[in-house]
Amino acid sequence: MLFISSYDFYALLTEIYFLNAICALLIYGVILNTSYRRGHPVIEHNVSGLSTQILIVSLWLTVCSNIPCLTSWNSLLVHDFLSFGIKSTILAISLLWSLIIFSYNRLEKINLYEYWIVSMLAIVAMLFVSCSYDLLAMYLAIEFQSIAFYILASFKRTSEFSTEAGLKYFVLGAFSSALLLLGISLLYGTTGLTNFGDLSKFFLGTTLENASFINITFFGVVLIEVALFFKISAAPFHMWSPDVYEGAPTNVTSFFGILPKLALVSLIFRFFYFCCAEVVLLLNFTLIICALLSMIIGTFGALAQTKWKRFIAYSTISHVGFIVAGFSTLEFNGAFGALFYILVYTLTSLATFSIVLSFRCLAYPSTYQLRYLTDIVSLVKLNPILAGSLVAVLFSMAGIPPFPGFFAKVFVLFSLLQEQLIGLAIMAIFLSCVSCFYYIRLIQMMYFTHTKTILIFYPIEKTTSTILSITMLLLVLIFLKIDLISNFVHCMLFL
Amino acid sequence: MNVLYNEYSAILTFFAVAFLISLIILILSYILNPQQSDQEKVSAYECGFNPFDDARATFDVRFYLVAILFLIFDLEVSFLFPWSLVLGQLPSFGFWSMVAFLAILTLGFIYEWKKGALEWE
Repeated sequence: MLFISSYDFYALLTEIYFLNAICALLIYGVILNTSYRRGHPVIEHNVSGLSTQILIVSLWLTVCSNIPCLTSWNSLLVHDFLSFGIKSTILAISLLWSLIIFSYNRLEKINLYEYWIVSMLAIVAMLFVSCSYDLLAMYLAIEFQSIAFYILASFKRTSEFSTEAGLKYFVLGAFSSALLLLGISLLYGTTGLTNFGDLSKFFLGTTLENASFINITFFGVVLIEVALFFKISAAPFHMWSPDVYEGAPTNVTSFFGILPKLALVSLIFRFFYFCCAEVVLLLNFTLIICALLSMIIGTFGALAQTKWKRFIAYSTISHVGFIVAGFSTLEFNGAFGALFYILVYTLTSLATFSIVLSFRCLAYPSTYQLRYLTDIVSLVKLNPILAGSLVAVLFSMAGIPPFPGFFAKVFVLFSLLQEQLIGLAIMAIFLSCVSCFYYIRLIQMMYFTHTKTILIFYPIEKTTSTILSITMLLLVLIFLKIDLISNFVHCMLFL
Repeated sequence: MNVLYNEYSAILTFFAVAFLISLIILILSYILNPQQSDQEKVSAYECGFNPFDDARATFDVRFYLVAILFLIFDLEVSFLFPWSLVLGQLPSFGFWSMVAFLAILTLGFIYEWKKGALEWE
């Protein structure tokens, strides 16, 4: 064991346990599911419970492990407080997410237990994305995550929407991975280094000398930036997200909407602020343009939507615009704002999807789920608490105090003003006001619209309502102790 | 031109000449051709007979499945070859990492076998 020590295995304890558990679950599932003697039982509910248990144990392993801040596996992976924080957040949020999906899978009769296997694999991939410290590890982890997502997007094989969404996502995602690879190969070809730490030392001082740095290396960094922005659906690389969000089955859309952006934003932070810190000073204008375009396209796109999932996709694009605006300041205050925003956004997104997935309208002889925005008219008469929680979620997304979305926007805007990016700050505020309109339009539909006919809603399932209540408690009450999140993000940035 | 890229000029010339030659061949055959198509010329060729049936049939997805499975296990075998050559000089860690790789692929094989992807009807 010349280059690998036992520390490497300890550092990856969570992932090793997780992957072994997924393999065991896969074999357990396939032996039971295809067994003629047992009558081909449908084990989806069983596997979902076991997957939640795997998530609980891996969260416990992650939180309780004492990892000193070192790189492991020949410096391919890094373990500092940022990766620890992001990993524990991803596992906690995915645990809550899996509880929402229980009842949805049962009601929509999604009987394939492989859904859980592929989702667990995507979660492991996100854990690897958040702790990668090398260009190769970054590419492998992103590809791992993306391939699991392509399978999930086309999961409902009998629906043409789903197949189309999976195909679109696959083609565009493969194209962006090709750009990522080209950028990585250009960066490696001109510098000979792939490690983030080595690259940061390589680029040290390039802005001080009068060297010509608009060259192939710079172009490689630009390509990697393009590919990473594609993966988080920032404009002008956002085309896939409305179609994929809408076409994929709603449980998969919730997975897309809640989890991957957290891991990718932490990877973007590591890449732009540690690896290519000097080169990014030249990329400042691209980040500003991406932020501006994301906010404009997200806001004006969401204005015109009539369906829930596309609406959520466009509002996601505008939120990602804020995050990229936080990164465009190239200061740690901006990165703090961006990471705080993505944490708050993940929580809000979890709440949004728990509300969207809890709608069951009666349309004899079966139930159907929420599709159009106007399906929620007069919700206050049917289910006033659900209407109230949707109000809290929408206010948080619009940035109204005292909800945490307000604090997130404030931190990003403060850092923008501090860096004299006043035009971007003014556009951000203006577009936030415009986005307020379509959030409040939903509230108006729920509370103040009188229609002759209303839909019959079923009561919410127990697991979904548990998650809804947890997220509502956090959303409504966290302003009293906002320094919990902000200290967490601060420690993640500086340790 | 930058000194760094001096040796690539041969590749550029090669690429340009190849492109030009193929372009000339295609354009000449398009221009110099009297294109008078009648029914016999554009009909499907079936060894001189009249065509029996339509050539399009429903694509059986099991061909695609076989191709994908071949790809996976062929890559596994291509990783096995260099390892088996130097196995005598490797420490035990080298042996066990390949065993781990093979074990993961065996799990996939069990899955595929049980699911019936190997049933060729």
